[in-house]
Amino acid sequence: MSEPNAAALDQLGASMSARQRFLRRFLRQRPALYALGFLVLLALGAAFAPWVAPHDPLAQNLDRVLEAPSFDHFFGTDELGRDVASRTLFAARISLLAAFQAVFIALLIGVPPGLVAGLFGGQTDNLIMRITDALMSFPPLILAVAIIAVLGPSLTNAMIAVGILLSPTFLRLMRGTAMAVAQETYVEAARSIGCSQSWIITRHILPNVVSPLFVQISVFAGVAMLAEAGLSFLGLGAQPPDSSWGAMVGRGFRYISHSPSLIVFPGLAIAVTVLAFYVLGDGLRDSLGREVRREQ
Amino acid sequence: MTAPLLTVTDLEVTFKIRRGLLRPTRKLRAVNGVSFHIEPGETLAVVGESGSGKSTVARAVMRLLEPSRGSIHLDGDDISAMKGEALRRIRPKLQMVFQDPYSSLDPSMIIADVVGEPLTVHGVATGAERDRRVQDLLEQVGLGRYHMNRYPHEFSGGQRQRIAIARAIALEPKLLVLDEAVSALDVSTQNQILNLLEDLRRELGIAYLFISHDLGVVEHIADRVAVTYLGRIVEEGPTERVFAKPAHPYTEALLSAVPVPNPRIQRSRQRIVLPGDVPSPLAPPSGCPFHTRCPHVMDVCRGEMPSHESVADGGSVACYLGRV
Amino acid sequence: MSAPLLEVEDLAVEFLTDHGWVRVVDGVSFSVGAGETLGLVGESGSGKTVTSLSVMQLIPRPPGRIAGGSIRFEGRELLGLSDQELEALRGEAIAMVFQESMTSLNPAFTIGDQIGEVVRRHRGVSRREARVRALEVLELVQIPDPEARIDAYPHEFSGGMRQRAAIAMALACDPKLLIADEPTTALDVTVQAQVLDLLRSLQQRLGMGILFVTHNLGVVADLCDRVTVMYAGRMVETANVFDLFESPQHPYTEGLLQAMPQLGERGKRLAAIPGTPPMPWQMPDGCRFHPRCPYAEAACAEQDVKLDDLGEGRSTRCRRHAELKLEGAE
Repeated sequence: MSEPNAAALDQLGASMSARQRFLRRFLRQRPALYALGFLVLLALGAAFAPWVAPHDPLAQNLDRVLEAPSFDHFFGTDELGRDVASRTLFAARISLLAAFQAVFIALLIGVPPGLVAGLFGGQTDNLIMRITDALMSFPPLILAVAIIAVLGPSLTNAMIAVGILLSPTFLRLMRGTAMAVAQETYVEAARSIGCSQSWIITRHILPNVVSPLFVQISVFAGVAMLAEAGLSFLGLGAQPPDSSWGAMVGRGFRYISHSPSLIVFPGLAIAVTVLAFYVLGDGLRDSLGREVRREQ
Repeated sequence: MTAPLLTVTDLEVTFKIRRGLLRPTRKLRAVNGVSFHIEPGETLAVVGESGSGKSTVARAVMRLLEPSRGSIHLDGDDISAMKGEALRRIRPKLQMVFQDPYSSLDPSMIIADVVGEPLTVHGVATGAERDRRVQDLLEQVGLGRYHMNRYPHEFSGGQRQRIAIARAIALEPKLLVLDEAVSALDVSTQNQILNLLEDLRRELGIAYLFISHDLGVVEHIADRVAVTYLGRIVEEGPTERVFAKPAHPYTEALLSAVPVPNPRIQRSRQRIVLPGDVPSPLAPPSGCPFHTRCPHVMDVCRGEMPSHESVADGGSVACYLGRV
Repeated sequence: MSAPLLEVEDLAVEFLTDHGWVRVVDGVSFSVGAGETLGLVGESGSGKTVTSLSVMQLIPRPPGRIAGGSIRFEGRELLGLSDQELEALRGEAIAMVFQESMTSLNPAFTIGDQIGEVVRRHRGVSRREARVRALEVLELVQIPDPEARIDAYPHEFSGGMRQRAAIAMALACDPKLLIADEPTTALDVTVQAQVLDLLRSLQQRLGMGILFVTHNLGVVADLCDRVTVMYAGRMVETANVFDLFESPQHPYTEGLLQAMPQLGERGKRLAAIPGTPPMPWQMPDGCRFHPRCPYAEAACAEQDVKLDDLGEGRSTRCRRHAELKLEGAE
């Protein structure tokens, strides 16, 4: 029943290029624009932390420990008298970097086999999907702890664990999208003019599978950041003197009754940043609109 | 006498249908014992309804599918078993335009790349030389240079089909396979494309294998027609003869079922309305595939598929009528 | 002539798009009498489908909205009826058949159950009685061996049989008006001929009015009594089917008729209407057909053209119709 309407609507939107239409829709997504703005500011702040931060994040001042927020120290001081505001800003570097490490690992081990499974199908597909199923049947936290136990506790190892855990979703997404794109007539048309297999994959299939990937990257950056916070809180992530937001919360937890500001500010940073990634992902998905939905 | 450009002999294409994990796979014979030929610069139309296998014939000739039996000779070479590099080298002679202009152009490519891709892939032209060729091709199909940097989304169905044609003629093929190439278009646009195809044939001497279900269009564009039913050619011959004096009862019924766009003629003419539907290709009838719906069915029709015999005024028919 | 069953007056429908509110149907008026078949003809994007869906208010809202006009069925205004009142009409007094019958049949239920469901909802009869009625209508649409087929699922039917089943479902409650949107477009020609014959004989027996939406002039010539031609969201001509084919009064109608390949001579160039229809958000001023019209004058681009009543149920939206001698089908 919705058939004729969808066709009519498709026609109404047909005169713009995909990119134009994407931009036009995206610019209308207020929350996603704010989220993007926030993330850009945060990234700049983290990148230029040595110049932006009011204090040296490692400078101790044992005369002024566990102070409440003041004009001198916006977010207060920690148990060694270090400036929490500066530490939060520097920790952003670690947290963001960790999130992207995890997403990068997930892409690295998820996307190529996903594409292979989607494009080759048959027994190859079967094998890859059974391995993925086996991997996904482990409880995630136990798997993460096991990986860290083998590789040793460090932030990078923790993020490798998170990346491995996130990779099956990328794998499945790529497999599904690649399967759908490989069925498209333009792929058959490319074969008919005599394009080689590798040309078809790089020129016709890859460009058309990346858009849904961006949505997932944004959402998973948030997920990875949350996972990093959890692992660092447990002491399995960032090791001193490095500090991530999760590690700050973990250390501050001991002084929660004395000075709650120690966990409030890094905690807030985690919450807002994760939310920003989610909202951006949502906005991207909605702006890609029909193009993505048709492919899935 | 020159050799035909394309000779298809006893072509058979089967698909394996898997209907569930534990059920046996079944064979669907989409095309069965099909033979035809196309002379250089000639237009052969293959007409038929759904399930007739006409699109499968197109894909087998294009070697997008592997025939399970029979041979396909293009310009003297048997391409029916070619693979890989050998097949790629033969591609420039053989190009195709697909039915759906919306899904046959890659949405992520600009028009210059869509049309120029065959030139790039076969190393014919690159850079500025390629762009110049693309521009010529676009002009040839009635589009302009200013269209080169746009995306397929920005074009109407008819314009997209022009782009698809420009791409298909880029390598100066000898044979163009048109699979329902105007079926998705509105009448006014459809005629623009048909006229364009006529012009290109005259200028470039391309032969067309024109796959269609629309008899009105076929009557206009084709030199010869092959009528297919359930994977077989039941009648073949010069367009004028087939339309004026159909020799197969199916052709006759098909022609009579097309409504004439004139109420006075349409409402007074004698029509043959066939009973039932086309049988499933998974369980084709024995003997002549048309015998389940044929108004002239005889006992002999249920036994063996009749062979093709020639018809007065040209062509051939596979029917026992008038033979026994 | 009997009072019209369906009267549509000055209908306007808008859709919210990336270009804001866009009017896709504008000032469309027509009527369908009992026992009469009106063909609503146009190319894709002409607004014919949106018009037919608007009668039963089946356009999706949002993004669509009926922006004005009136739709009366047996004298009763349909615009502004509550959802319950519309539900009661749909499938009972007014039924619809679509191009793709698979979309109106639910794959999870048998054909008999689905037809029975419609009967039970509108007539409140028992399961057994509903089944008897389902069997009756399946026989009516000439489905072979209906006793066996009534318990089949839609996917077990061929395309032609599904379309028959969809018509059977539409007829289950003896509708007075059948709205058929391209019901034969997805079918093979030999099956299309069967379905057209079926519709004609059903109409003679049941006396219902049919609003037949199509782009195929051959089908119109076969089945319709009167024809309304639409272009770019507006109706450009309405006439009796014989008059329309013999002496069209609008250049667009002439263009469509001349464009039928059957009428062209082999080897000659086919008549084609140059250019493409405008997008609904960039409608040309004046007559919407003027950029493609071979008879256009400067004035055609300036003033809006009103629908001209020519009497005897004919009307046209062309300011030059009186001076032009347009060619019909031979």
